Amino acid sequence: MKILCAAFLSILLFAVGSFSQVKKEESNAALKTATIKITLLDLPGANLEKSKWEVAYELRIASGKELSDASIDGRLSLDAEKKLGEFVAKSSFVKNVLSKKENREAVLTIPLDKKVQEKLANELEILAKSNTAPNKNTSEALSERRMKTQNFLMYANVLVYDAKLKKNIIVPFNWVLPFARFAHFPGANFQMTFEIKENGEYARSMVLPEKTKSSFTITTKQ
Amino acid sequence: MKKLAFLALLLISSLSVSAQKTALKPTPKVLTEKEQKILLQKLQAISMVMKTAGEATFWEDKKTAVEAMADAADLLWDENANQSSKWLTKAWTMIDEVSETKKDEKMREFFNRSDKSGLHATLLKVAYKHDAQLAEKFLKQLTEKEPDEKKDKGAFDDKTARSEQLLNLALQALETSPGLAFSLAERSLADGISFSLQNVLTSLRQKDVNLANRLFDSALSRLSTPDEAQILAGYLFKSGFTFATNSSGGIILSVNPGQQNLPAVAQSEPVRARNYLSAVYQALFSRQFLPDTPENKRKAENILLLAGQILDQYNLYAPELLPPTKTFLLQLQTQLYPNRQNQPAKSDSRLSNLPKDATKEETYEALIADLEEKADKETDPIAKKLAYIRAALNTKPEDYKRGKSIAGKIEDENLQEDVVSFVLYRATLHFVQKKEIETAEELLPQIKESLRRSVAKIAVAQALLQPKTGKKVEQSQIDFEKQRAFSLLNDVQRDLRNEDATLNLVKTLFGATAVSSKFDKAQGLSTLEQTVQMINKLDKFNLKDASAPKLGIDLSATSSATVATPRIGFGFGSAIEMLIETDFEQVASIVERLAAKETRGVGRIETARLFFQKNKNLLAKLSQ
Repeated sequence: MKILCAAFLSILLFAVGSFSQVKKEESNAALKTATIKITLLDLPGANLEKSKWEVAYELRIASGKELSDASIDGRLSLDAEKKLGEFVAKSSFVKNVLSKKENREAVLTIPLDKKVQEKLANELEILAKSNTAPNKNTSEALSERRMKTQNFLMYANVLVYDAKLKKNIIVPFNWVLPFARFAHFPGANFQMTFEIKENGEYARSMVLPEKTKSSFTITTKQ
Repeated sequence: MKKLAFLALLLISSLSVSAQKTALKPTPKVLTEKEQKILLQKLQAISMVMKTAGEATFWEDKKTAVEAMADAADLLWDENANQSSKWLTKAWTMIDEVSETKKDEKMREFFNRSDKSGLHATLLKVAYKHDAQLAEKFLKQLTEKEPDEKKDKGAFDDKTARSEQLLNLALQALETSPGLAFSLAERSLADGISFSLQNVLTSLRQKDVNLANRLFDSALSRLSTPDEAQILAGYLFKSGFTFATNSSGGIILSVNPGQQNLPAVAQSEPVRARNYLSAVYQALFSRQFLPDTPENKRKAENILLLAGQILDQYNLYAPELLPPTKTFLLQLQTQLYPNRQNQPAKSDSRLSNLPKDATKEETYEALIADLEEKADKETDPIAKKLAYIRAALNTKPEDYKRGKSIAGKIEDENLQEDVVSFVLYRATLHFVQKKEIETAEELLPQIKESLRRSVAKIAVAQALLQPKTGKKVEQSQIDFEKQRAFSLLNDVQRDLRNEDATLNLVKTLFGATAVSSKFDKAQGLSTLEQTVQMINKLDKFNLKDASAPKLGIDLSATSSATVATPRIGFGFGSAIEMLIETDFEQVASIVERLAAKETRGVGRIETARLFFQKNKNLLAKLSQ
């Protein structure tokens, strides 16, 4: 949980300083879907028939204000039982035959409903305005805008059975994904990758699109 | 063989010298065959220790090397004090070369103790035992060092590496020298009040109340933080308990089982309890601050946690401070959680709606029904599996049928098999502990996972072999039970032959060796050989690790804690204990087959140590 909170904070703080990277001409793109690619890079029992992985996720959305309030009153937690924000989508899948690379990858295309699209469009508009009137970027104005930012909250668990290790392993993927970080990419792409090591530990990372000037990778180990 | 012949020659020459010396005495000492054999074995044991200490300086694993040299010095001090002192001094300097090993991620939040500090304490203990001057020299070097603030501190770590060493040593000195323990613990206060101080205070009180009071007063005069106040609160009001918050603000608790049932010190020291509450009020409950930074927020959380533990004590020992303390805490709580409503959440669970006079059984039934229902209703498939695991784990070990039935709802073959096997394993060990051996035996074949089944079989075999006290048993019955035990242990050896080498497998085999050796030395030696072969397949193995194999559920870190672990001893020491008196040479020879030099060295030292322990009286008699 300590690691998750650290990751949470890193992303959140990065979001604060990233508005100026979104260009005006890109800000009008209407986002109808979000795309999440999950990749299991490797596992010791990849070639064994019984090895498999299962993903169950819930995507939610929360404003910067909601996150800030939750932080102040002690509700800011990545505990799946105390989920924050509004529901966007929920699903799960299982993949077997992990010797095939395509079975170690999953691309989730998540349709966004009108309400969510509206929220994201509003944020794009605010971003565009802030870029056209940079002199209004006072600390108060920035603080106000920060409260209006939209953040995807990913609550996901991956359950892996490694037949070589004869072990069930849970890899939690609970991330906060600030919309501003990938707003100018159609489809709101982001990737989650992880691997299982010989000793049964896991390493995971969240990668934002490489095209952004300040794209970043957060890696955590079990 | 050559070595043995050489040792025999040495013995003969020493015996002949001894014979010449004693020739003048009126009754020359004639050694029995057994005594001659023991003296030969002693020479071999000494040689094993000396060889290891000589090689250890060249080992890559410096931690094991330092420990081996300390053990060697301790074992041979009476034989050769000069050499032992040199080993100890060399080991002391080698500690700087030790690199810290990676700690268990889950435990790091609680404890993250330094390997170096543990090694310093080990060497100091040996030095104090044999050469107080050398110990003082080491200690001076330690206390003159600048305190190194520990990085990545766990919630229950001591303040600095220096305080950790001093308190560790104080604990070791308590039994024989309470004054020294007091002095060491007091020196640790230079770095603040550390977690281990509570243990020292409580143990010291049992030896010397005045010294404990002096140490407490000295600590109280330095109190400045909520975590320090928690340590002293545990000592005064709830012995063995220390509360803290983790990085995400959750409450964590450390319990020292050996001290948790002692009467509260405050009852016999009301003035000290009052002084403590007054000091806490002045240092923490009356100084206004805003929880506006992460540091201050954490401090506020810790203050509120402390208040939860000690507020009631103000009523008893310092009632005039209660109202201002309550006002301060309410204000702090509002600042920390401005949006939190203080209304208790409504719950329609069976557990929360139980009447106050509900029986234990009713409470248990409600808890399990709630957990099972929660799992039934869960829509996230992975969360659902985890919820069923939680419900199954919460069943009582003897209620394994219920646990099995809940586990049967897990829609994942591997996971279901793991949980069912664990529930049956836990039940078997429970029945062994309750001496319901036949019920335990009936469950054995149902445990599919081979290591769990093997540990359960070893536990049953041990129970069958235990002498029957208090009731008359026919010899035929004893023979029959012995036969059943023998058969179970044979199964274990056969079942584990083709298993992949793992830490748990080696520990299980050590357990099998320990039990087998009690009634069949040949079987014990054979299992020991099998174990050595498995150790040679591992990258690393610590022969001093005697902990039980961890056979909990993969997805539940706490499941192991719900098992009635059999008291067998799953370490090398337990495995060879019954063999050392009758088969010392064979054990020594098997130890030489350990491939890694560090493991082999530790094996030699542990074998020698056990030999000296087992033959202590005879060796003392022979040296007179």
